[in-house]
Amino acid sequence: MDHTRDNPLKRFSAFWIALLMIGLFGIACIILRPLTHARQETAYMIKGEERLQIRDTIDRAQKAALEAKKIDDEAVSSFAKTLNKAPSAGAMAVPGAAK
Amino acid sequence: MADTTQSPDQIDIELRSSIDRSLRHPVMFFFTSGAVWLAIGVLLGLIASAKKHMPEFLSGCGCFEAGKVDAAHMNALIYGWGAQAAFGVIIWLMARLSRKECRSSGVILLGGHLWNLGVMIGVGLILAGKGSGVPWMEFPAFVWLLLIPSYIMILIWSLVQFQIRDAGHVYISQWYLLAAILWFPWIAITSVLFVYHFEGHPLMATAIAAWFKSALFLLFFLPTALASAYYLAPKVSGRPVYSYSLAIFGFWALAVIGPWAGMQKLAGAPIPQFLPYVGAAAMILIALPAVLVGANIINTIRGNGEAVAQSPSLRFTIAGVISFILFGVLSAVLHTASSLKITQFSYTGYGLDILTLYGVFSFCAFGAIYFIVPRITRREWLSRRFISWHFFLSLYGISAIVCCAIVGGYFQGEGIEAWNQSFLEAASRAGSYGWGVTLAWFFILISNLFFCLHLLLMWARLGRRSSHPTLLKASHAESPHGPEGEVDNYGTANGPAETSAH
Amino acid sequence: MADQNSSNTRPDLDESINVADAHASLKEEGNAVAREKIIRENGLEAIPIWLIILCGVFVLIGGSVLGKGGNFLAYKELTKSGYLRAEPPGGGEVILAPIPILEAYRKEGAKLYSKCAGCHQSNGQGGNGIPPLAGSEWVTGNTQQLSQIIIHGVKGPISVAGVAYNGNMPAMGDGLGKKELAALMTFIRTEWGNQSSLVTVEMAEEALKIAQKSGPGQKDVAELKKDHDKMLPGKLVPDDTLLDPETFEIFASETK
Repeated sequence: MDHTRDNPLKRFSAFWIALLMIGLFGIACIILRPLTHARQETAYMIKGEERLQIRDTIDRAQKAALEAKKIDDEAVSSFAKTLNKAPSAGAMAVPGAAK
Repeated sequence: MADTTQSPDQIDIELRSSIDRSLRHPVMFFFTSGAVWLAIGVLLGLIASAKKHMPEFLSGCGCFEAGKVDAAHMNALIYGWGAQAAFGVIIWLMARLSRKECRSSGVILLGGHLWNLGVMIGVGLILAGKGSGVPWMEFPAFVWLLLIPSYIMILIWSLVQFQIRDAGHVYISQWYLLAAILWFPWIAITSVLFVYHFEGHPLMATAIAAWFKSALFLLFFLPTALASAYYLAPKVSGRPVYSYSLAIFGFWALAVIGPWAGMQKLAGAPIPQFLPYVGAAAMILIALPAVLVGANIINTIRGNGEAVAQSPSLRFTIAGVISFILFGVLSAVLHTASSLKITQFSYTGYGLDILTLYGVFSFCAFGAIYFIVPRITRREWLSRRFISWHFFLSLYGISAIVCCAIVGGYFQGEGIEAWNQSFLEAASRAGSYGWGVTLAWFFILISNLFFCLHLLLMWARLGRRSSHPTLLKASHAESPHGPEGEVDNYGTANGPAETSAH
Repeated sequence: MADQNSSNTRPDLDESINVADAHASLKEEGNAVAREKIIRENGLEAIPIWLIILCGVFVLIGGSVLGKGGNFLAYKELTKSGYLRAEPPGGGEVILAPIPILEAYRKEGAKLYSKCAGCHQSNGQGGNGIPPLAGSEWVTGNTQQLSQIIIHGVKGPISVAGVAYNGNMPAMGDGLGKKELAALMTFIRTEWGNQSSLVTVEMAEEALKIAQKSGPGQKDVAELKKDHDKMLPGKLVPDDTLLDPETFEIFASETK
């Protein structure tokens, strides 16, 4: 077989060169990514830090002021007791009962 | 006049036959599955178009909401039909022009099935509501992991064939094919990475998605269509391409201008303000390759009107080339600042998209299919009437869509510009044009049902066995092919096959 | 010839097919492949001048668009320098976008309510002997008595939402034109969970006339119930009618 362009070596190398060229597009994107994806400080983010600090202080203060036990004792438990009391006979109207 | 064509000798015939034989499975697979996706895509297009002016159409079915069905329609058309028709044309054409048989049909076929699987999953997920919402990239991100490797499996062999071709002439079509094969992975990989995987500024992702939308046509579908046109026009008409230097000029004009287009869709967005202007300028300059390539091909077949009237493949191809010229001129008119202001958020963009995908690419692909399929199935097309109806219904349909969409979009845009009117008023101005578009899609659906049926019959080896091609005009007694005769492809044990043609 | 023809009718199923001969037939004439011609590329025509000129025209158009784009590759400039919003077409008069009537009245009414919030609180709950507006039947009931309460004030015992009050509300009608009255009444009738009909400018105009007629001085419950326990006369419009935001006139669009 005379040395034409169509030989197994040429086929092999052509295949891998083509694959490399296609892969090069992906590699180029990955290389160029840091140039385009610099993290920028925006005014929103700068103001945001301050705002989040204030928010944090308020949250902690409110949590401390929220006395869960006191609410439980004063409101919930007493209300629960009222609910659980059996209704007195005088308050209920039973249909058909003799007057 | 120098002898520019000669009769083929035995070696050529054998070589061509063996190339066609080696590729018959993958190419037929791509064309038939593409034709089925085309029918699906056009049907979805009909529903999507109806939803624009008749929102209660099919409103019981959740998967047919306007956003989903519109996205499914575009994606089925682009990736189901367009990409597969392009694959079939590219692998066959590159093999023929490099004069090399294909040894990897199995891998290509596997890649084709993977591509189909990806598209099916993608379109199904879009209709189920999981689309990504990025125009023309609505497939969920993981589907691209199926599509890009299968693309490589299908088309890398064409690159190898180009490298090992017999030394000598590089055909014009081969420049375009090489460009298309290499440009698609560039735009697809870049867009998929930047839009879905690199967490960057969301506006950058939007801009890159807009660029992808334009580059997909200009840098993949268009070069494939032009490769087919540059092959078929000289081949069928029997004359050489009109001007080599015009061809070089046209190719490099497309290569230089094409990648800049796309960002004009985002005019007014808070992106760097030169980008939309560059995109608009590039879309205007697309008129350059349009008129250059158009002049070249039209001059090639000029004077041979008989061939255009008779040959289905040439007729479809010339229709595609004329659509390309029309697209160039329209693009130049509609992307100046005063027009873009009016047409930016209107039907007009849709009309231009359909002109490119269907008018330019699909017509050239139909021309290639009508040429290639008889050669790989060794049967002729069954019915010239089917081909005629396919051609005329598609032509009328596409003209109607383009006219209605562009004109309707203009009025709609004027309504939007009248800023003290409600948006609904502006949108309803395009209402009757919407009806026109829906009707046109209906005609295109009928034409493609004919095409699909015809192609499936050929795939089932039910074509005519004849020594005559199926031409669009009734053949008369004196045909250059001699009297029509049956072709007996197999012969019997009694002796070699005989044909009644001399 | 005849029996060859009959055996040729289904050659694919014929068991007597000779494969070598069958492959040989690929080379036979009459094949589509055999029809194809070889093309040598001879196209040496020059590029026509008219084509170059046409291309030049397109380049000029494209170039002019590109020129408007400012500095090329200037990624920091997001808007054109010196960009000003264009004047609205058709002269200098600025027409604001129309808004639905309920929204317009409530916005205006919310602003006016600030002077009532001092007593009735911004949440409409009142307190300290001041009746609430939220859930008050005087607010959600007939509009004429509500209008007279606002314009003239009210004194003496009054029952609001089942609770008895005995206070003194001063007249708040000063500075309330028909537009402001309509807005304020609509606001309190649709805020804090109240869901009543809105009061149009027309109705408020009637209210002012009635107030004029019935003379100055605070009202009391008896008079309110006797004379004013009805809805104000006037046509009710749907909640989403569009209004001009400045004049509160009903906006008729130019095209129909």
